[in-house]
Amino acid sequence: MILPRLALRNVLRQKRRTLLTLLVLVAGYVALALAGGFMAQTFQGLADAAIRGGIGHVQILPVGSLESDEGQSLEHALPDGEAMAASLRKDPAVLEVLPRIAFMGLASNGTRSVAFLGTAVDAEREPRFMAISDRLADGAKAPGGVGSRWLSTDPAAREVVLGIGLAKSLGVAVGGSLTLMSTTPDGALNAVDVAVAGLQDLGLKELNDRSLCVSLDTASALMNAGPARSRLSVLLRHPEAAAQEGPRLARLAGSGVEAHPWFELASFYRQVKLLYFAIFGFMGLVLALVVLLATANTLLMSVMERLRELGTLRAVGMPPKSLLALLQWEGAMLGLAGSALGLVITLLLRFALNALHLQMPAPPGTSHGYELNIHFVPMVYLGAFLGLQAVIQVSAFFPGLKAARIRITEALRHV
Amino acid sequence: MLNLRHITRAYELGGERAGVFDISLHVPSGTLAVLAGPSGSGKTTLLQVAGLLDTAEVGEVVLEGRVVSTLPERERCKVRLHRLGFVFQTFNLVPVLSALENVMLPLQLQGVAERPARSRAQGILERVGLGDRLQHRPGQLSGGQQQRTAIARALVSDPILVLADEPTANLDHAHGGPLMALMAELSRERGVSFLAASHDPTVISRADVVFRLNDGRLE
Repeated sequence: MILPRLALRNVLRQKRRTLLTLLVLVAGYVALALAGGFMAQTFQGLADAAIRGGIGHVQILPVGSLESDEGQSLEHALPDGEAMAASLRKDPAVLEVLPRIAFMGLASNGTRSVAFLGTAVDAEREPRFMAISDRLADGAKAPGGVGSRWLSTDPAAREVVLGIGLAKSLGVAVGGSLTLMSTTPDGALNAVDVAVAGLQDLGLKELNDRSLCVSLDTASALMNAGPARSRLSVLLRHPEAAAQEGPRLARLAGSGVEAHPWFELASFYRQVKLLYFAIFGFMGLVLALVVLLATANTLLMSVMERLRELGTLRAVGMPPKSLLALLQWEGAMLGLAGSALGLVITLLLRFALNALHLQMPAPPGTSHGYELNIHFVPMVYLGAFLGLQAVIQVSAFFPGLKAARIRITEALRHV
Repeated sequence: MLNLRHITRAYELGGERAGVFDISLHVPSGTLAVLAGPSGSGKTTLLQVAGLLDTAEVGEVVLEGRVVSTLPERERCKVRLHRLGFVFQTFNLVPVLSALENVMLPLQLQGVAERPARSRAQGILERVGLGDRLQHRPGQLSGGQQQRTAIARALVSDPILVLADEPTANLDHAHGGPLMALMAELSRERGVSFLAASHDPTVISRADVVFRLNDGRLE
């Protein structure tokens, strides 16, 4: 126990210098922990956006449909998607199954036609699980969006919800009418007149400029789709089991299908995640370097000031490896104190920043900002502590080596 | 008990060759021996070689019949820890430890448990007259008290030889005399040998054996 005791007393010996070093450590810890909480918020937001944006927790698709483009409507489809959905709904792990048809075509206001990317959804089930109301609320703020509402559940209703950019291109507002044109699976051209029920803001300009949404009944009328569906979005009772449940659900659904968990399909989520890891990883490296230099400097100065004392310890029989260990203990104590203080300050800052309800600017490629809400992530706090501790132990190594290698006779002469 | 055989340890000092040259001497058990001589005569150098703090270029240090000067550093550490004690001119106590903790230090390095180490350290501090200063840090002790603490630290692990480098140099006469009396008493009482380097007549007058050094050679 002599080494920890000696280390603690040594750390407390030069209080001002220790305090300055602790400030650096605390700043490093707080930066890492807050950045981790911010990243967690971003990832959580993007994951929610992807899942509730239509992907669901698991998607059931025809085999190979992700690798090839469709030459014509429903070329890659689940032939009896509705029956498959009904069967999957009976599985105890499944909360809901939302069949979808992806299609393309032209939307015309009579004088102008614009190409669109359409999604047909179950008008009744979709709003219960997907982020429809948020998108419509944002769409209602756009020009012509006042009075935006979701698609009617009446099978005979022919309605459309347009992306705000597409509505602007076509010059239509809520209550207006359009003609949608697409092809049937056998290649014939077909058209259907629809009323604009609402406008939606999908958060990405590219999507807002091209996308529209109709009911499965409207899409069936347009494309003569019958029970065929492009894919099934499955919502699970335990979302964290998406990776494990996927293959089982694919087997349950029958042959000719494959299942993908949401994170394999959410390309924007993955790209942002990689980008954040790169940015914050670099920031972490810089912080680690600052902490390393600050701690190494403090410990080295401490060694240089205590040369005679260290020489005495060696003279009375302390082996060199114990001096190395002594410096490691001193580093460990600095790290522990820095992390403990850093944790307290992180929690206080997190509370204060979240209480301010700060609005963050819109991320690149998206059309609206979001409220800052730094998440409480114990694993990030633990990771920041372990990372900081590892850096400090490395930084303590060189002063420790210096102490271990002193020549006793020279150290004893040191004033 | 301690035999130095033809020890030579030289170094450059101001362009001249200094150190000790071809020194042989014997310190029997339980004696208070003194290396006497003027400043620069090589007393400290010889003491450091004898205490395995430095290595002789030529010659052997034999302790209890065993050549210890050729041992690897790890073994030399063990010899210093278990068989030798050190007292320095400037006391060299660890400033962040109390008198008691300073004295416990060698025992704790040996792996002695906290409670017996504390008990032994307290006993020897009481023996050197510092029973009422156990929790004082070196900065709170007088020079004489610090040196007595250093002697307690040197003796606590029951060494066979204590090497003392100018033990009274930083003490006034009123403290130097009693300190040497204490060292002589402890030497007799514990059967431990002292080899002190000093040019202080107070120290020399207490010695059982005096080795006189001049220009690095025994007279």
